[in-house]
Amino acid sequence: MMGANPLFDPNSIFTALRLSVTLACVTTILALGIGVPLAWWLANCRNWWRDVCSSIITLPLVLPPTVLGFYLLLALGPSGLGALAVHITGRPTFAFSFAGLTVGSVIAALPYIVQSTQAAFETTGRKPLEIAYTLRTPPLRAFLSVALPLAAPGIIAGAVIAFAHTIGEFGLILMIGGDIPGQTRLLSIMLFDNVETGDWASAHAIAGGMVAFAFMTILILRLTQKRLTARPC
Amino acid sequence: MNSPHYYNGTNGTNLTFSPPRLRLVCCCAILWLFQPIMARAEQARIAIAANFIGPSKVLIADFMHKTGDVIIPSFGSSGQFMLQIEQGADYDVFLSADEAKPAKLVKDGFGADKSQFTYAIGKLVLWSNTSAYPASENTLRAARYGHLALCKPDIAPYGAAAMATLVQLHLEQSLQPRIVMGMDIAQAYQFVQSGNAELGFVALSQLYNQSSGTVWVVPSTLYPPIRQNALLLKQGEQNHAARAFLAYLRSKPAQAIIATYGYDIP
Amino acid sequence: MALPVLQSGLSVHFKGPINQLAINVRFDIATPGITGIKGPSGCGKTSLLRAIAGLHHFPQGYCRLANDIWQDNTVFLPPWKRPIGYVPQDGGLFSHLSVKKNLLFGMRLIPDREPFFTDIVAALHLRPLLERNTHALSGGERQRIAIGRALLTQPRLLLMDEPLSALDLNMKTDILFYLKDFLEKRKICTLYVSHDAEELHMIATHILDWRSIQNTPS
Repeated sequence: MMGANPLFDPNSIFTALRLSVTLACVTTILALGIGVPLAWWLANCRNWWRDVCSSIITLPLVLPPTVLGFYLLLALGPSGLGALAVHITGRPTFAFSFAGLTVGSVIAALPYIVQSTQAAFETTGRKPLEIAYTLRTPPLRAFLSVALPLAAPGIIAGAVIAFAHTIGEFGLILMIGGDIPGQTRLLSIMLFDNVETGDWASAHAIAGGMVAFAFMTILILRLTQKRLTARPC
Repeated sequence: MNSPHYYNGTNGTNLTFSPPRLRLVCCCAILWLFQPIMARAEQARIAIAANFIGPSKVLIADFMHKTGDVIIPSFGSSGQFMLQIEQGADYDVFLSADEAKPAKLVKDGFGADKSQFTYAIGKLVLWSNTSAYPASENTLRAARYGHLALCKPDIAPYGAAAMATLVQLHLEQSLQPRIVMGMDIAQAYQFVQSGNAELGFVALSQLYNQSSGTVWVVPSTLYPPIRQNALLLKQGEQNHAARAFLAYLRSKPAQAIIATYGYDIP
Repeated sequence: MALPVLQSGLSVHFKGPINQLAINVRFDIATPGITGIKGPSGCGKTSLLRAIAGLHHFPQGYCRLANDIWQDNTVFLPPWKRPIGYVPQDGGLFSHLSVKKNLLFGMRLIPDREPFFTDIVAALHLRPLLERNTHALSGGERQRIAIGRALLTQPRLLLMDEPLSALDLNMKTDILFYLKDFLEKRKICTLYVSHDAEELHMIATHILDWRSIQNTPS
């Protein structure tokens, strides 16, 4: 019986916490992997459709999560990506799964990373890269050894916000998660459940913890930003 | 100087920055924006369990047409509404999906005494919108599908009925990993309709306009009857529209409308 | 058919608009040495150096160092493949790296670098700065580091854009003297752009006036 240990009981708060943190980590890493190159392209592209792309990426920031959730429910289902899911998981949908939540939260977190990183790249400008080129450094290496470290404060800030946002994501998860203990019952959903069913002691524990976490995130962000701008080495 | 210009600095009495007409328009716009929040005369706010969305829209339209009173409906799970009412939410009438919640509200002093009555008896169905999984007891038992949608048993009565059915069929353990929960019955419906869940327990009334999919009406022996009770809340005791609507709900024409949606009539 | 002639020196021709300037520059430098380019500010000297470095691509252009063609109608060698050293006006140091790492940035591939490194660090008076980060440096210090960094890549062509404009006279004379000696010993072809005639006379073996290389449209 796994239920004996609250750390492994799928219904426990620890499982929800672990799920939330895992999702936030995976989301942040994926969003960085997609967002940083994207931000680089946006910062250097001079086409008219750059603004179109930028706007599309920013959409989740402005749209209610329910809109995103609704479209994702359709996109992850049998008439969308679900057609693919049948071959992988044997089920006709990516919804109600960790993978589905990851897709959703990456889309929701992407604008935070792209905006902050793009701003950092634009502030740095092309000049350091050009200098690196004249020092026999080919573009990819110049990007990794010059552009990336110079934009680091912006990238880190974006990543921290994306992480914290994913921990706090609710509307989207509510719509595509299906509230499965141990798989898609994240902390924010569990809090909602607890409030709904009148379990206010647990609700207080989660809500209070989240307030503390959010506060710490913002505080850490401010402190590191200060340090990173003061001491760039 | 008698020129009509409002920006005329030489005329000390006429130093307004915007013409009065513009101000009037602004005031009206603000009033209009806040009108839904402020105006409360002869209208009733009703909290309606999500399974009753379909018939309630017809009923409200009919009632408003007949009486001229205004009804403002809200839809959600019964559990959600009970919690909101206990926290002082501004509803006049509560159409629950069970009898327990209105009874508790009366006991806790939120409902008007003796105002509780059963307006409909709900029917639970298993619904499939995927042709490969026709809704039936056998399909449910065979468990070849990925997901079975229901709504949360602890807050939504149809979820409790669905759970009771699974317990009666001794499936609650084996199907546990396949169960996905909607927050209310409307979300469970939406999971099945979008095809993300192959099967789902929903209310028969939700399928009123649904032409696609297959339905298995769950035998009423498998779950305790879903007696859906209406309650006049303390808030609405003096509200004419709220009282009139409850009276209308008991009337023959209203009951006939409810029956067409697949409810049993008390 | 003539036998291929071994050509030496730098041959340059660029034509096209840039930043509202119409550039049409053509010159050949036969001998390795330090060529000063004199001209008023804003005439396009920086654009010329950037084009030679490959940082700006004039569609109509030709650039050749000795037998290597860097740009003609079919070829355009990217900047990281050109054996150049480029010292921009403000130094262009990497603010995320220490002085030492800045100096070492371009010389990763060169073996036995230790004595060479020490030599250049000493000559440019950079030893006390090595472990510092770039934020607290004066303008003169920045430019000395930029020169050192460019020299450490052992370029065949050195492009210097007002490299000493921020240095005080003593330091300037000192470094000019060393630079001249260093560049001549190693036979590094150098283009040295400045608006300061005195500075040019101290370092350059010959001087090109901008007016003489810029073809006015006829």
